[in-house]
Order: sequence, then structure tokens, then C-alpha cells
Amino acid sequence: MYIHMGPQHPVNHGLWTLKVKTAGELVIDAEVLIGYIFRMIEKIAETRPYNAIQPLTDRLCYNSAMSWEACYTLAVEKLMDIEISRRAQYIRTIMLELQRIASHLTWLSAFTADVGVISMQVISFREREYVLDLLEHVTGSRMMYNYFTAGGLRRDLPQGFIEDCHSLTHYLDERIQEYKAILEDSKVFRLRSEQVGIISKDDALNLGATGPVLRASGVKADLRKIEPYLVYDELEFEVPVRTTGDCFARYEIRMEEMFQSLKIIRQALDQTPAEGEIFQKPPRKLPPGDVYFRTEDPRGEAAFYIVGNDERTPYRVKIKSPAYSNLAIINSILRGVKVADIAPTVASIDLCMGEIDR
Amino acid sequence: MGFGLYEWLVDGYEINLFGYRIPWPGIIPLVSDWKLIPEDQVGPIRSFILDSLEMTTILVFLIVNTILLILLERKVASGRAWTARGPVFIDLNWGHFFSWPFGKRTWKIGLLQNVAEFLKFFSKEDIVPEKADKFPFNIGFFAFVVAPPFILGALLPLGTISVIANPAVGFLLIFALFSLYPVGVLITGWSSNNKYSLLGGFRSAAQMISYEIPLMLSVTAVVLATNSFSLIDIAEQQTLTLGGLPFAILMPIGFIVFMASLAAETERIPFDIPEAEAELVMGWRTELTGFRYMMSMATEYFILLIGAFIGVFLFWGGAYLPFGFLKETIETIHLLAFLIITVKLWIFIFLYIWIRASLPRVRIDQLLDIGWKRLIPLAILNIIFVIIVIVNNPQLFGVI
Repeated sequence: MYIHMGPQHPVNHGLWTLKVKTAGELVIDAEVLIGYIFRMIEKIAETRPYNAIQPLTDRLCYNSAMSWEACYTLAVEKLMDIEISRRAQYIRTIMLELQRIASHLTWLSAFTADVGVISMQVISFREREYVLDLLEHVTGSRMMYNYFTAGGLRRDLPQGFIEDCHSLTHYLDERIQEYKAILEDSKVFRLRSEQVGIISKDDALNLGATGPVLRASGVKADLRKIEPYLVYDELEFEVPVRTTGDCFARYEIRMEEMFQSLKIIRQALDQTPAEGEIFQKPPRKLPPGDVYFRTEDPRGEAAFYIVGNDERTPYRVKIKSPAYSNLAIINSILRGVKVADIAPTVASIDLCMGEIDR
Repeated sequence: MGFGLYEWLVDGYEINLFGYRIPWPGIIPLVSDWKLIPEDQVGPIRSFILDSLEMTTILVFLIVNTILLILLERKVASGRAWTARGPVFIDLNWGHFFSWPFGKRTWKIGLLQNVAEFLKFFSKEDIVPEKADKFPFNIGFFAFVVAPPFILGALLPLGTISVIANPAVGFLLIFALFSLYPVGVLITGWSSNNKYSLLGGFRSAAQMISYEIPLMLSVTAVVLATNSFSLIDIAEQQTLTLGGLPFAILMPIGFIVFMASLAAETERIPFDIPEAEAELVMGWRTELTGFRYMMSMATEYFILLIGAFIGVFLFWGGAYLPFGFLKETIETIHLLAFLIITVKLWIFIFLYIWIRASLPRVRIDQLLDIGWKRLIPLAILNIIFVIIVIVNNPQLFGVI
């Protein structure tokens, strides 16, 4: 029997279709149809001045707008070969990690809802809202920030941000510990997530999985460690790795990453220099040449390939989306699971249709 | 033959209020001197009025409690547990009526929310899918899903002896009518010509058929201990047990098995697989619209309420309090017994709502595993325990 799940179906967090071939309750094959919200972001980017593209990159992923801005901005800065001040770099790092926590909380909400813990869905959205409040305080916008720009940041940190952020990290630390305990002590939660949607290390590598999905399969790959950008090489944190490659491993990785992010934020808050240029004027035009820059998005390896042509508009912008790479493993992890496990398994790889279709 | 809900009111009896005996003469003896009705017609008229009143009472009781139960669910599970307040807007402003001790203030708790939503669902268009098999789609739903729970009302006691019908088979009849439900679910799911409905219907049938066995086994232990199928007798026997403790404490394994099986029978989290929102849109209800959908959801809560009734009578001692506390008073003041039952029902249901707010749902194969490999052996263990106790120490269960 073929079951169409989508384009509007509770399994899909976003607009896409999953065609599943089942034998009774067992999934034999799965096919993914995407492209419902294609918005030509890459093409539009070729018609705009380079500093008017961050709003577009914000809209790549509604869950982690900041990390896409960062990826684009860092790529442009690398192309221009400009260095921003230490203070701006630290602030960027803090923002990125806050965004990572917000994104993972959204993921936790989606995943737990699909497993059936509807309370946790609401609760993690509540905690995410505190993070978004803080980001709104800094950037003036709740989700689409447009905060990073080539040459630095649009505005300085508001008064009292350091204290607010410190108290938020303590609050989140406590709360996420509690939720972790609630979920992991639950026998039913473990039944639903352990040994479900397994992908082996080889398969994950061959199919091009990135980010938490790859780390859950036993590959210690985190661009913040491998190719440190911003100030990640000065901060202490660990890269969580699991070897089982199932939904529970992916869940554990993301939970652990939230703690690591909190750790990074605390260090960065303490080390942020009080003085420093927030914004320095970048060159007016993109220099000729091309650049490929990758960062560690909450979903994995995000990259921008930008070709400059001595004009204000880039000649070509190519986006590499981690969620798109992870989409490739769906067939592999869905084959052999039960129909009831489709939802948590698909949710566990954290898809974001905005950046897949772009 | 039942004892009736209002016989005591009409015929008169002796109230036992904390040991003081107060005679209540009864309405018929009081008004018999007035010679309003000819002597030979008193019997038929009396039974006609009483029967109508009784049936109305139990139906109103069940429907009102179902509506309030949905409200409770929305207040607790989708309200407080989800950091919200549940429905608050559609209500009378109770602050006008009960100002003391709060002072005049807006005090809305959303009591009329569900009534409003029922009206909304009734006003919607009734859509039968074009390619659906019309006859089973209608019959399966109304005859097997909606109708049976309403028949059950006659079998539910609203006090220590107040019940409309008390047949010899007792609550076996309730379970027999319960078991029509999966048939209706399967027929509706299958005939609505939708893959989600079909899968949901199959899951539902598999789940309910497997969980009826542990449910019945856990109940069997109670029947063994009390030697009766009547909810009234079973409730009364729980005052004669060791220390007057209810069976929930004396046979905890059986109670846990009963709770788990009832959660599966009523399709609630952690066993709400047939309507798993995540993968099967709405399960077997996917093609139901308007009042059909409303009736299906209401029936689910209706069944939960009836299940809670059985649970309260089988394991929580019905209208009686533990330790045989105030037994005589409860037996004679029927309104008090009614109140105790209602409170117990709500506590019982609150447990399910609490569970729903805190647990994930299991998968269908895991659910069947839990049913066959865990609950049935536990239930059999419970039966063996009960048999051993009855053979060696029957006083523990009040068997004389």
C-alpha cells in the first residue's frame, strides 16, 4: 500500500511529501518530493547588493536565521579579506549559540510531539521563547534578525544584556537537565526512540549526512572544532558523539549540544572585550574571485559559495543546506521501521523546508 | 429488576444520620390520603413516572459529566500541563453570582466552551465521502460506535443500591456492549475509503481485542473474590474486607492491569495509537466531519466515563468510603452516596488526564507486546494470588 504523507500532513514539519510504500505496518520504501516552497533565493541574491542579502538568508531557515546570516556574512568577509573586531566576534559567537539552543528547542518540541509527549512540545516552545526574547532584545526582531552584516554587527548589545544572558543560561541549564531526566527516565520514550531509524556510520558518510545525524552515527565532525571560525578555537567545549545512530542517539546529541552551547555562551560572556568596533565599513564592492565558506549550523554543515565580480551584487551565490543533505538519508532510515515510527524518525533528523527548497 | 434511583423518595424509609434514626415517610404514603389517583392506577403511573425520571437522570448525569470531563481534560492536560489555562472565554460571568469572598470580578472558567463547540459541530455540513461505502459508513458508526455506550447508562449505579437495572450478568453486559466498539471502529475506518482510516481502524481493532483479555482477567479476580457480577454487591463487599480496604489496595496488580487496559480500551495516551495524530492524521476518524466527528470524540469520553464507573465500583469501593467509614449513613442518605461516587469518578478520570499529560505514546507492536507479554501474565498472577487468598484466608476479601 502506498501512503502519501504530505504536502499537508502532521508528519511534515514544513511543506513536502513523503511517499511511503508499506506492507501492513512495515515501511518498505520511502520517496521524498520537495520543491513546494521554492523561492529562488539564490537567483534573487544575484540581483541584490551584497549587504542586502542577509534578509534573504534569514528566510532560509525560520528556526536558525542567525546561523545562516553568520554563514553568509563570514563568507563575504572572507572574500573581502576583512577582519572584524574581537568584540564583534564574541557577540556573534554568543548570538550563534543562543540561536543553536533556540533551534534545538524547536527540534525537541517537534520530536517529542511526534513521539507523543505533547506537554514537552509546549514546554520546550516556552523555553525557546525566552531565548527569542533575548535575541529580540538585542536585534529588535523575534525571528528574522538581519543582525550580522559584513564588517560587524548592525548594533551594539543593549544595556544589561550580559546579566540577562547569564541568568538565562542558568535557567536553561536547570530546565534542560530536568526535561532530559523526564524524557530519559521514561520507559515509553526509550521504547519509541531506541533502535529506531538506525543509520550506520558508513551509510551516513556515503549519503552525505551532516551535523547531529552524522555525530550520532559515530563521526566526530564539528566544523567549530575542525575549521574554527569566529572565536570558537578560544573557547572550551566538547563535541558529543554517539555510535548507535538511532533516534535516541540523535536526541542525546542535541540535548548535549544545548549544554555545550550554554557552556560556550558563559565563557564568551566572560571573555567579551568591553571595547571594540562593532561595525567597520566594508568595501563597497565584492572583489573578484570566489569563496567557499562553511559553518556549523544547528542542523550540520552549512556553506555558501560566492563569486564576486568587482560589482556590488555577487555574480553567483550557491547555498549548501545541511537539512538538504540529511534529507538524502530518509529512504535509508525509514526502510524497515513501522508506520508509527515514521513521524519520530523523520523528526529526528530535523528538517527545515525553508533551507531545503530555498 | 433494579432498586431504582427514586424508590426511596417515593416509598419512604428510615434515614440513619450518624447513628440517629430519622424516618422519611415517602411521597406516596404522604399524598395517598388525598386520593388524587384511583387506587388501581397508582402502580402503573408510579412506575411510568419513576422510569422516565430515572432514565432522564442517568442520561443527563452522563452527558453533563462527559462535557465537564472534556473541560477538565482541557483545563488540566491541555491547560496547566501545557503552561496554559484552557478555555476561559465562553462562559457566564460567575463573578456576578458568587462574588463572595472574591468581590465582584470577571470570573470565567470556560464552562460553556464545550456546549458552544457541540453547537458549532452540529451546525456543520455532514459530509460523507463520495467514494465511501455509504451503508457501513453510517451503520458502523451510529449502531456500533455511538449507540452502545448510551444503553450502558441503565446498568450504572448512582449510589449504594440506586440502579435502574441490576441484571444477573451484571457488568458482563457492560463489557459485552463495550466490545461492539472496535467492530464499529473497524467498519467505519474501512468503509470511509481512506488509507489513514483503514490503518487506524485495523490498529484500533487489534488494540481493543488484545486489551479486552487483560481487562477481563483483571476483573475476573474481583469476581472470584466477591462471587458476584453485580457492581452493587462488589462495592458492598469492599466494606467487609480486611480493614474495609478497597480492592485497589488489596489486589494492586489487578488494579494496575485494569488501569492500563482501560487506557488502551479508551484509546488514551500512552495507548492512543488508533488516532495517532502524528502519522495517521486522525486515525479511523479522518473522514468524519461535523457532528459525526463530535459524536466520535464525545463517545470516547463517554466510554472513559463508563470505564471510570466500573473502576470506581470494582476497585475503589463504589459509594463506600474506606475502612467502612460512615457506612450506614451512606447507605441511607442516597444523595451523599451519589456525591461520593461523583467525586471518586472525577479523581479516577483525573488520573488518566494526568497520565495523558506526561507520557509519550507507544508503538502498535510495542502495545501488543505490553498487552500479551506483560499485562496478561500479570493478570493471571493476580488471579492466582486471589485464589490462594480465598482458599487460605477468605476473610481478607470479606468472603464469609
